[in-house]
Amino acid sequence: MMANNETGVIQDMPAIIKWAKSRNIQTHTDAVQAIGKINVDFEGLGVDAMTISSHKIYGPQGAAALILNKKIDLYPHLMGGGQEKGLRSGTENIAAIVGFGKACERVQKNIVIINNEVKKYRLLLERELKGLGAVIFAEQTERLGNTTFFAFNNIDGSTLLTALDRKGYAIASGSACSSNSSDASHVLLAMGIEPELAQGALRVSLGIKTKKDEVKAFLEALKMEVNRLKQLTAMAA
Amino acid sequence: MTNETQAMPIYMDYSATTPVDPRVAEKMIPFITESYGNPASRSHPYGWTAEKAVENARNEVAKLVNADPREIIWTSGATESNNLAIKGASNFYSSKGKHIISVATEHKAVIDAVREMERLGYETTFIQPEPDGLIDIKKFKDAIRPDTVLASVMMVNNEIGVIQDIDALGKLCRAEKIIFHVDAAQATGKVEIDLEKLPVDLMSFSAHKTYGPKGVGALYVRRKPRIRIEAQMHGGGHERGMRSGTLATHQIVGMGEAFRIAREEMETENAHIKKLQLRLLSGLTEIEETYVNGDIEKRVPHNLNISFNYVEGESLIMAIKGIAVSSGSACTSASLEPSYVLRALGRSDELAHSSIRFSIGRFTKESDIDYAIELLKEKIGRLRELSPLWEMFQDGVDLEKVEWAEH
Repeated sequence: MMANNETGVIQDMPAIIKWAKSRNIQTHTDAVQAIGKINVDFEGLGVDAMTISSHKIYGPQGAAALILNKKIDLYPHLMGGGQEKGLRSGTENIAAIVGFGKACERVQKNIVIINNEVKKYRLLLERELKGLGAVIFAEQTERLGNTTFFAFNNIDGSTLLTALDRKGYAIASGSACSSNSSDASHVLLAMGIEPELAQGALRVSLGIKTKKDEVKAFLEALKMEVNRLKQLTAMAA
Repeated sequence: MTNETQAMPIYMDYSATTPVDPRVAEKMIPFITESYGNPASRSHPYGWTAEKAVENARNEVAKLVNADPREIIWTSGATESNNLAIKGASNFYSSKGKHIISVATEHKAVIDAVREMERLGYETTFIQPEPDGLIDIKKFKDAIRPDTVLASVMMVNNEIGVIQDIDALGKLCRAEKIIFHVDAAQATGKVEIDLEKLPVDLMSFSAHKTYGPKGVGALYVRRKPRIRIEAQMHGGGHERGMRSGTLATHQIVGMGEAFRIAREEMETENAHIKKLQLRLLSGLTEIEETYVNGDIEKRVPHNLNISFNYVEGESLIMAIKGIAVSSGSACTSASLEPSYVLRALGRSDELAHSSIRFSIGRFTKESDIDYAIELLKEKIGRLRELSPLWEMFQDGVDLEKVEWAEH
């Protein structure tokens, strides 16, 4: 995975691919979260296969692509009408594909916005979060401009999430796929984070339309809720 | 690029794909522009709104076929549903046996998925249908072996529109404890489907054959008795683990609306389309040497597949640019091979090559039918004037008995 969906951590893909190539290992990267946020150069990287998705770059849900090195042979998993050179049968979802194409045209502009504007908001957010005592996961690592994953010791993440939702802020406790479960993030556990801390993790992911005012208002709400929950915890102790 | 000022031909290829009903498109748009949440996001209203819309749509799809909403699994279309059903169920129940029954006239998505199981060590039997396109129940029964694990039969054929006796075939499968999969992509909105009564275990659906958008479909997976399938797409655990991947909310909303309209309007709509079909049939059979492919009674009103003898199909399609039709299914229209479906009915290469599939639907008008009849009469007459075979036939030469010189 080029950029992690929960932590935003960007892997050193050139080094990984170089290493794999020296051992004749074929490489695939899931670049779903990376496209539109950092520059991705398929040819330059020399990766053999790369996954990209429409609905993470402001295109419609239900369309994605696999970019393949011409020299790679694949065995298809969907059989039938032989569309996409036989590699993926099924009538093409034309409307979504057109939308995906249009979304791709804006990718370069979005990268500039994410790294010039949105990253500033993320840094502001993280400075304040740390002031409140939060731990920012993978803080020192190169990460996407829009994503921050954090947790407070002694504050229950799901309580904070619900409180913020009531105030009108839609954030997540991890990836959408696992938002129905109360298990700690498998990403954080794999990184060696203590289960107690991982359990309460919250993800804020911003976009090109996020305004500075929104971030400031969110921070006010966050401060208020964090302080309220800290007092409650102190009272219970 | 196409010339935009040029009038588009009259659309008579509804079996390839239908236009999206404007009511469907209207319902989809807010889920692209405003309610864009990920239905799997449980932590905020964007996700909840999307999830609610997805579940409403699931209800609508279930209602059309009288199923429980929990039996409906979203997919990217009927191709994926067919692949998931055939591979997923065969793999899950492989301990029962490794023999699969299907039919020579199935859609490629079924045939190729079954062929893939062959590669994995399964044995297969493809039943040859009768010349009218229907399956002889006795032949089906004879094909059953003690190790038969799955049978897959399409409800309505995509090329000739014939309707198989799913109830009878299903009962045979039930008695032998064989998983029964039915590809109903061409059936929804055209024939009544009642899954509470039909002995079917798995059924594939598509949105874009029933006035919904392309890129979404569903698989019905029976709960009582419970049918299990092995997932073919992994990650995220969406759709109770049977099919992972972010749900495309607007697509699903479109399918739900399309199936709701189908449920409410199919009765009156089919009566109207039946009239158009009969009008087309009587007009075209006024032309000499025409042969209807497939049974005319056990057939959906939307389809008419006719071979025009002594006319080559591809030249005919080129000659009738005013209407959009096909000589077979859309998937195989790029190839010049005669339809494998017509070949399986025992049609000669010549007749299979001279066939046209007319498929009509919700937006077809009587004047469209009349235009098509006139156009075909004129063009076939002209093409036959140029045909030496037609001349020989007119002179009373029995072409079957002609001994052609070897080259």
